[in-house]
Amino acid sequence: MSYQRRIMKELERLKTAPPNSHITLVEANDLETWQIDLEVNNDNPLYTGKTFRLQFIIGPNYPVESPQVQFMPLPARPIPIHPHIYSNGHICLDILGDEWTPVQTVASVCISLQSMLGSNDRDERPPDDERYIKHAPKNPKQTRFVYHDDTV
Amino acid sequence: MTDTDESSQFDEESYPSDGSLDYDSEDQDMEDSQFWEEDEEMEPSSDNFGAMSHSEAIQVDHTALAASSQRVLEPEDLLKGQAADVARVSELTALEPWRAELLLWKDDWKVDHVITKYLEQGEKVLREAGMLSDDPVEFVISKPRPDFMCFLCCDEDKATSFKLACGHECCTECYSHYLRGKIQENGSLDITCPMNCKEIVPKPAVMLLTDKKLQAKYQSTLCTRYVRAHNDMKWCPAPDCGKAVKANISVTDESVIPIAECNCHQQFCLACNIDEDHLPCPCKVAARWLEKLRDESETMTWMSVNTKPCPKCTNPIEKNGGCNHINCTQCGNHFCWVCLGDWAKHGSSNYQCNMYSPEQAEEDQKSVNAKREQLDRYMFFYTRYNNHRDSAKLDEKTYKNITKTMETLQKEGKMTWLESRFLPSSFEILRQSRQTLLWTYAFAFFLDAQPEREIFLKNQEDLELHTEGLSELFEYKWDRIPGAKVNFLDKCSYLKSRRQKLVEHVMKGMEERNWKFLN
Ligand SMILES: [Zn+2]
Ligand SMILES: [Zn+2]
Ligand SMILES: [Zn+2]
Ligand SMILES: [Zn+2]
Ligand SMILES: [Zn+2]
Ligand SMILES: [Zn+2]
Ligand SMILES: [Zn+2]
Repeated sequence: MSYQRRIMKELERLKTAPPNSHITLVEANDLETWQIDLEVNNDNPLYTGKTFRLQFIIGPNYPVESPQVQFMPLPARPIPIHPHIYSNGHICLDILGDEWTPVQTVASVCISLQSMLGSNDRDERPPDDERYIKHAPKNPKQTRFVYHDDTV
Repeated sequence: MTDTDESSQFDEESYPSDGSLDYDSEDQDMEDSQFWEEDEEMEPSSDNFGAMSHSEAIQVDHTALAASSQRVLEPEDLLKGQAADVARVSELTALEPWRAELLLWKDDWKVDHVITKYLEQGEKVLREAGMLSDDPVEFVISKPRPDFMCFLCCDEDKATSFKLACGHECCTECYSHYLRGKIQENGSLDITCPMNCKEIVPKPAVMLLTDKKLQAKYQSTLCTRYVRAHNDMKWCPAPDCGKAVKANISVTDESVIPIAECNCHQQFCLACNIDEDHLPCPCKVAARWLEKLRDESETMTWMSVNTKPCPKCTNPIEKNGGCNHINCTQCGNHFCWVCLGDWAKHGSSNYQCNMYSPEQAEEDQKSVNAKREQLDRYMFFYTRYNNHRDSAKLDEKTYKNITKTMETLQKEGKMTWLESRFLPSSFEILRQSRQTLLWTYAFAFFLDAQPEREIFLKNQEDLELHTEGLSELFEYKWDRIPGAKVNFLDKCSYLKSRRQKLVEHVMKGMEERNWKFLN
């Protein structure tokens, strides 16, 4: 598997030199599922003091295809309230779908999510949250998101 | 195209034996003759029975009457056809062949359209087709460089790398791996740069970075698209045949039924998706019939004695107890088994039909009778249609015995192999007649009352009678065959002309738009 080296490299870097102190690799037992703890790296009152758990599933075609990324609800790991994050942890973010390119990495996705949270001032879920989670597929990549206004 | 090119494609064998060559027409048909070189009269040399001697031969119409002009295309023919189109576009647009092919692929191989569009709109067309630059491109693998890092595997010390005009460079190992995945998922000229930009990976790049096996797969995906893009071409539906058939007549004309026959003997319609000879039924009528068969298959239980149709929805109801109160599971109708009337009118006091009113009963009976009549009518045609299908299956068994019979005749010194060649040919006539016969019942089912209908039914009856006659001859034991040869030949030539007559009668009516069908 040709891309394996890249995945190993990414993992190694994330372990030893994460982009900032608020991104922590918790576990990546196989190379396929990675658990990462994420905090905002500013003082946004909506999220300070909270830690969120991100799960990355790295498919066989990564990095040609995007990873499957979502927040996981755990004790002491809530799903962040955000107009682009559904209460089941699914995230509506263009770079995880159509706009994915292989130069993105797990770390760069974490940074994007960090800034998405850091810049948010709306304490609310997507307007279609209730409807979405009722019918949502297990894999958020199967959802054709109509990307919400990304100025939010 | 240069003169030397032209002469080189005629090898000696393709010159007529009398040495004459009509140069003018050769010149004119250049483009076409390369690809659609007219086939010689269909010679049944590809079957298991060796060459047919002309004196003994019963001429078999292999293809349907209206589709006598067809051409079976081997994979090489398809490649040649594509190459000829590419060459033509490339020549008239001065584009490199791979660009021409990409444009053709995008626009469903409409050669003239592609040329006009490019000449009118220029590079805009290239952009839309996924060619970001029109600079001349050389597809080469770059040597290792110290400053290069592959964005897919992040390796800095990789040997070689590759990039397209978009500049997204990755190592050849990753590129090949990426292409392999895409080709295995049936990608062809829609595979884009691994960076997820819009640049298409053109054929020469694919050839450079993949092995023979993948190239073959890639090429066959291209071929599939090529055939699908032409409405006068179709893949032979026989499993693993891999050939296609092209009609040399219009397949969109509703008054023709372009039944094709592949070299593997599979017959199929080029205008619809029925994979058999459905003459004399026009495609639409044949499709209606098949739909009817599907719809009615459930209703068939009607005919069984113990069932009655629900008077509301005609769902067959089986009475399995003494109670006359029937509750239809399909539509929820409550009705009385005896009179088929509404159960509510019977009152709730008893389970006997005591509401018998002659008027009501007569009316109910009428509606049931009408439905029954419709069904009886359908059953009439269906049974005959189906009977010929079953007989065709039995005939196949007969066919397997033919070779054996021929061997026995030879061994016993009764007939040479060549002399017994009429057996397989006769069988082909039988098979064809049955095939036509079964579809005549579908045709007749939808045929409205009209004077021509009587002629059609007469033709049908005649065809049926003589088909069974021929079928009987095949049941003879081998030692009776030599004596029956004349009989075989007579029956065959008669059947052949009867079938032809029947089909022509139908086709004539179609051309003149005379047939009136029931709704
Ligand atoms: Zn690489
Ligand atoms: Zn690119
Ligand atoms: Zn075939
Ligand atoms: Zn048809
Ligand atoms: Zn009852
Ligand atoms: Zn009913
Ligand atoms: Zn009754």
